[in-house]
Amino acid sequence: MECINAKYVSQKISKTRWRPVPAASLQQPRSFATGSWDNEANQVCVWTVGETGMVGEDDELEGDPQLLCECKHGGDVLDMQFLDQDRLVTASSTGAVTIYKLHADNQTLSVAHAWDAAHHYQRASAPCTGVVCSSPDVVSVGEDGRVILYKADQRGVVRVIENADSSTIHAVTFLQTTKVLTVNSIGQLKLWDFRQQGSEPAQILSLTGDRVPLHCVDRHPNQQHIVATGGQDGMLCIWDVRQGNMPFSLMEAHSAEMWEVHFHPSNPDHLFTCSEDGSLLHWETSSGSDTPSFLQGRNTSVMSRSAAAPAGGNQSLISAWLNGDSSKGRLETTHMLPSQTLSVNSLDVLGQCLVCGTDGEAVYINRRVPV
Amino acid sequence: MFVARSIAADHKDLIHDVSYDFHGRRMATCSSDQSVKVWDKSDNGEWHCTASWKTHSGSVWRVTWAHPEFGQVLASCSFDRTAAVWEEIVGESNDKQRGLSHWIKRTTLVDSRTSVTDVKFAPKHMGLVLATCSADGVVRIYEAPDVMNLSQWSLQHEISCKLSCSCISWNPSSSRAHPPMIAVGSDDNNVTYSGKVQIYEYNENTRKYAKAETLMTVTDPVHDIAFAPNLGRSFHVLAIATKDVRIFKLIPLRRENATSSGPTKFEVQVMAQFDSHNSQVWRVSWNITSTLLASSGDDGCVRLWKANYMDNWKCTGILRGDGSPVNGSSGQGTALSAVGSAGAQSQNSVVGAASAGRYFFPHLDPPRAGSRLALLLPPPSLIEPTCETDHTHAHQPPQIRRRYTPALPTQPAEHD
Amino acid sequence: MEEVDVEPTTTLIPGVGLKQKHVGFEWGPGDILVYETNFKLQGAGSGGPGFPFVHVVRKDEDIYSPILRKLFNESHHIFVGLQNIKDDMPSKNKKPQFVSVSKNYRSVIRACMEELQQVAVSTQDTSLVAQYSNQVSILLAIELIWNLCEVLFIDAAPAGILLLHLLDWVRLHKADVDEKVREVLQSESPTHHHAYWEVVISFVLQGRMDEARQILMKQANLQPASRPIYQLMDSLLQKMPIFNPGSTQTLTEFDVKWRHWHEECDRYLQDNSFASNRHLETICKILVGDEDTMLEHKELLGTWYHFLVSRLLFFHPTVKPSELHYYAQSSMDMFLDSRSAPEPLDSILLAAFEFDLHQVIKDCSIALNNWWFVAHLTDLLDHCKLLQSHNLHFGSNLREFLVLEYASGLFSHHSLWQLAVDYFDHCPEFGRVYLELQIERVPLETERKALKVLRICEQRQMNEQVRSICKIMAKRALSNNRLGSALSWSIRAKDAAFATLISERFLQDYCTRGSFSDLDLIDNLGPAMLLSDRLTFLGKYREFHRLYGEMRFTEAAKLLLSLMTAKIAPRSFWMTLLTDALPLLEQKEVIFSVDQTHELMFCLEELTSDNSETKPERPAQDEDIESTKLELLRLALARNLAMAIVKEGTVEA
Repeated sequence: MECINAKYVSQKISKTRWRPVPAASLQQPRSFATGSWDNEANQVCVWTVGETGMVGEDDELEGDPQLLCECKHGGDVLDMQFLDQDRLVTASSTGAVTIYKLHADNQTLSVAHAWDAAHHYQRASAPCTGVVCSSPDVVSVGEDGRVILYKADQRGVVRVIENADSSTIHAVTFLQTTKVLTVNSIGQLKLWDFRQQGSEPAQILSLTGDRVPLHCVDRHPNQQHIVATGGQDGMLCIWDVRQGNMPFSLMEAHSAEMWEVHFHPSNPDHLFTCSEDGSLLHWETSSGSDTPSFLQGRNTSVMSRSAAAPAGGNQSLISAWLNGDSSKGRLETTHMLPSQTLSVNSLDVLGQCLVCGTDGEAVYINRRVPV
Repeated sequence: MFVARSIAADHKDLIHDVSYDFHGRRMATCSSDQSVKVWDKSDNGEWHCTASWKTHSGSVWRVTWAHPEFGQVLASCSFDRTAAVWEEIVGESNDKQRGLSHWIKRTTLVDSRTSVTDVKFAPKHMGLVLATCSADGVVRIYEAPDVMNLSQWSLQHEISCKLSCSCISWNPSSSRAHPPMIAVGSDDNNVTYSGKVQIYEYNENTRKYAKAETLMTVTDPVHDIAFAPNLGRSFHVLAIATKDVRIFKLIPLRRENATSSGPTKFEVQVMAQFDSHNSQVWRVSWNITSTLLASSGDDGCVRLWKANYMDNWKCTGILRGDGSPVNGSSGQGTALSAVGSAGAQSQNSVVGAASAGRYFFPHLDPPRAGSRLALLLPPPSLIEPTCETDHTHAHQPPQIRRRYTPALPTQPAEHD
Repeated sequence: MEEVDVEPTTTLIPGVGLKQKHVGFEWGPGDILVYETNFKLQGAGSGGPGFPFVHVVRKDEDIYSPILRKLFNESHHIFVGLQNIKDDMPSKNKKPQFVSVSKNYRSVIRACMEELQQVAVSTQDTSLVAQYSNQVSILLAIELIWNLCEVLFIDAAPAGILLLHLLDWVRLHKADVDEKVREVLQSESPTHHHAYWEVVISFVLQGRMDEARQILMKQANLQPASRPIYQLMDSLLQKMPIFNPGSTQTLTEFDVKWRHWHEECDRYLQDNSFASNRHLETICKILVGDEDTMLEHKELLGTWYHFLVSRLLFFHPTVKPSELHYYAQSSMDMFLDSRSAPEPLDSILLAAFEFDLHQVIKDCSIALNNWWFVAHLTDLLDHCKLLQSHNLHFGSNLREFLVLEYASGLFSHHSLWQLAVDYFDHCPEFGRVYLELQIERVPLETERKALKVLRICEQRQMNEQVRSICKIMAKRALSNNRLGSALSWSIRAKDAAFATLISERFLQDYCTRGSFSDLDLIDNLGPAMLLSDRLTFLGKYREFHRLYGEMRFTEAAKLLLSLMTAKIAPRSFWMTLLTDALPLLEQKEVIFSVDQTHELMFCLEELTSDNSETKPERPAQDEDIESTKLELLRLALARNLAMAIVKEGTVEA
């Protein structure tokens, strides 16, 4: 049975993130963090959704998230990411990058370290728009066009790329240990390699002649050269950063800003996007043997391709997203929320669990995502 | 209504004017201590003074913000016969650490020979234009032709009103049908029987302001004047503070021939007149959508006026000093009694009977055991989450459940 | 319809009015600033400090309640759904939808009430407890009124069903019986519990006959002697006809059946069948609709409207909507003794029973001062086309007035303003202009927020607001020295003047530093370049540098020349361009053709003749450098001309 749980939380939610589960365990995630924006006092909150293993009539109540702990946050939470199980990093509109520690035993949240006004103009502080972690590395980007590298356990800043961008950088993601990819407000993707000095990117990709701002970026969990971006016009782009500077495919996904895009971390045939237009989409590109027969019949090229791919290997996954035009017939999208009018600002998916937050001050949780 | 917080303004003399910027995130105060202070609202809603400087060599009567399209710009006017324009500039990084901003004087307007009583920026569609009026009876209109260079202002118009001027108001309408228009009020006590409100309109052809109307019915001194936001209507609404509060409706009359270059003629109607202040009224001002008019008078009250859907005006609220000294005057530029959202109730004690009568349900005295409303109150366990009137389920434990089943059909992707 | 005149409320400002008698004020987006002052003062100095405090006064405290915020957010969803119900649908099909919308609203109120109740119970702070219970009682009253309006107006049940709905209404809002019955049943000896008979009678009064019978059986089992009369009562209660709208039974058939039953009850009462047990006799009296007996149990009824419904149940179960007001008024008169005057809630309910919708809404807005309630209820009633028929004069006006009030209140909140947009959208007369006035006041702390505000404006073609927001952002970026962002924003604002200004800053920076900043932006201007001449020049000039850098000299030379001949370059920049031509002129290979060289020379002459006229006061040193540059240029041009002539002549030969 598919069902979505709604919880009204009395604050506009800008970010939702599942707390990671130990890699070895096969458990579904049990708690998540939310960040608020545009409140007089903003907060980072941690919620728990109880056990999934329990079955029975109690099924109804089991999904209702309960507040575990909360902590004040100076300014809007513009981005948030778990560094590890117990620490999460936020990007603030005040320009600060803050590490919060979750004390699991007494269930409290506190500030472990903050880089205040890490992003700033000459006089005032500048909003920090994005943050990404690859423990112990933390990278933040901002409206000031800086890219900043930190180590979670060092007080100072490790590296600043001044003037990395003449426009606002909206989001950042790790490609490899030393490489990050940023997207900006004039539609460019820039690849940065921290091993190189200077403020020149290693590579710039963009849709030629198109200056539509890009708001989010995510990397394929297994194929580090495949990235997905979402833009102001709601367009979803799949890129192969190794090849050319044009996207592999372009899909009209939403009718307004796409705020986040995420590959499913363990089943990257699935992708999720959310948008200012108030929708949350689940994208599935069928690959290999589980392609429905009617699709196979219609599109023989697909069949032959998957037949040629090594069974169960990643090869088929790559072709799934990088098929260009031939992927047309094989991509399915599903709306995951009831018709809704206010922006879905953030989503996160882990295992079979999906959480998203809206400007309608609601958090939606789906714990039976068909992946 | 309730007092959410109090800010120790720390002026050494009377405050004459407080002005919010366009977005309500900053405010400026001016005082008889000849200074202007700028305050910024921090992320947690508290106000911090970020600049304070001596602006004039006399009492500063008014301070006002330009539209943010022109940057961070203030204008002030003073008893010292001048008006001045100030701009915030990007200072040194030291300032930032101290949380201070830097304002520099861009120009001093010295044309008046007497106290400058009011200063107002024109609506932004006219460009960066500033009007002043003074006790010598002249309204002066200045313009900064280059919005990037605020040190150059040229005196574009001088309108002689023949009466000592106390206040001005630009008509905010940006409709093409309405030429720029400014209303002037006079508090001249020497001339008894003339109209104390004059309305001037800009004429495209002569490129001059010409008098369009004098409100002959207003013969007592006028202390303040305010056009209401236009709301896309063909007529204008003007509020006046004189011995009472008056609201006029100005309906432009259709010109007899289109080529006529004379000023627009108006049909003037009184929409409302309130004498509840029982004495002189000193300030009138509209809220953003002109659904509320506030006035302040000699009775020491600020009164809020509101029209209902049948255009009947009524007083809906009064703000009045409690006449008691402030206890704990230590507050240094921070909130004296900062109250978060949850603590609103505790404010009631501060404000006294603030909310009395707002709710007829026992708002100030909680439900008594014997009251009929208390009987209405169900025990907590019995409030049903849903309105299914099927009462047989009343014994189930309460739960708020809102479940949504997602859109049923899986839709084919729209893409190319 | 008389106007209920209420005194305006007075809010006292602490510490004001002691020394100076005037109160100054300033409107803000969500509050009013007030301060002590003296308006009469018109000369110099005032004589000593007053109490220079500025007080922030807020209007509506409800909006700051975190729990009520859920009500606002959740009901927004329902409101939008309601607006989308198609107008062209036949009204018969719409009614169930409207009833379900109404129930959804009530369900949100209930959820909110429950949460408030829970926090009230768990809070220690007594003032907070009082606040929460106040809010609960207000919501409770709102729900009570709403539920009655749903029964009477939205569902508009006909005779027969009407009473069933009213019974449900009373049962839902007089739920303390259930608490009491639990208490009785859990006691050691329920039949001897002091509240035993109260429970039975309460059940009877609410028409919950099965439950009453169950409790009665306990007593009957204990008293074998009086078992017959208990059995008699049991059968009376069991036999009581209840109208069943689902069956084929007509209302008349039901009425006949009910009358028979009623007469039977009356007979037993007359022949004193229950005389031996006063409790059962009381019940029997209630069954025959004896008002005095019912009124003897005022405390069980609690309210006059419970009395009304019980009275109808046992006296006139087929009451028609049009007859209600008569029974309502008389029930109220009978129930309330002279001591307790009717409260506003009573008048509101009475007005509802009188089907005076307008009075209900008006009294609610005055008494509750809760725009949420009146706005949503009125909107729903307007959708049901109830306001027009009731009041041709101001049906929709009233709806719009109330919805605008509610939405404006939301806009005064730092966070809830987004909800208000949809409400304004559904106010045909003033919604748009209100939105225009309010949306541009939303503070733009971050670009992301600016984008959200812009999206709202763009979707509604609010071009002036879009332009203004972009302009503000561009201006701010410029003051923060972020030229690239400033340019992006002015391109989005289509603000040619500002784009020109920023382009000039870029060119200035180039002239002083000798290199371009923000190449990532300038190289990717695309068609946006055409916004302003200066921006076009900037883009093209940068293109020249790129061509030059890529050693594509011929193309570079052609572009450079065209910048001047096509008057794209500002005159002030020509000298720089001509200087840029120098290295091209001095290449071994001839790059500028004869014609091109002639044109370059012409440009140089035009420039120098201009300069001699307009710029007489220049420092001597600059003059020197300038003349040296000119000499060099003239020389290089002449040399190039010679070489080009030779080359072109050779080719022709």
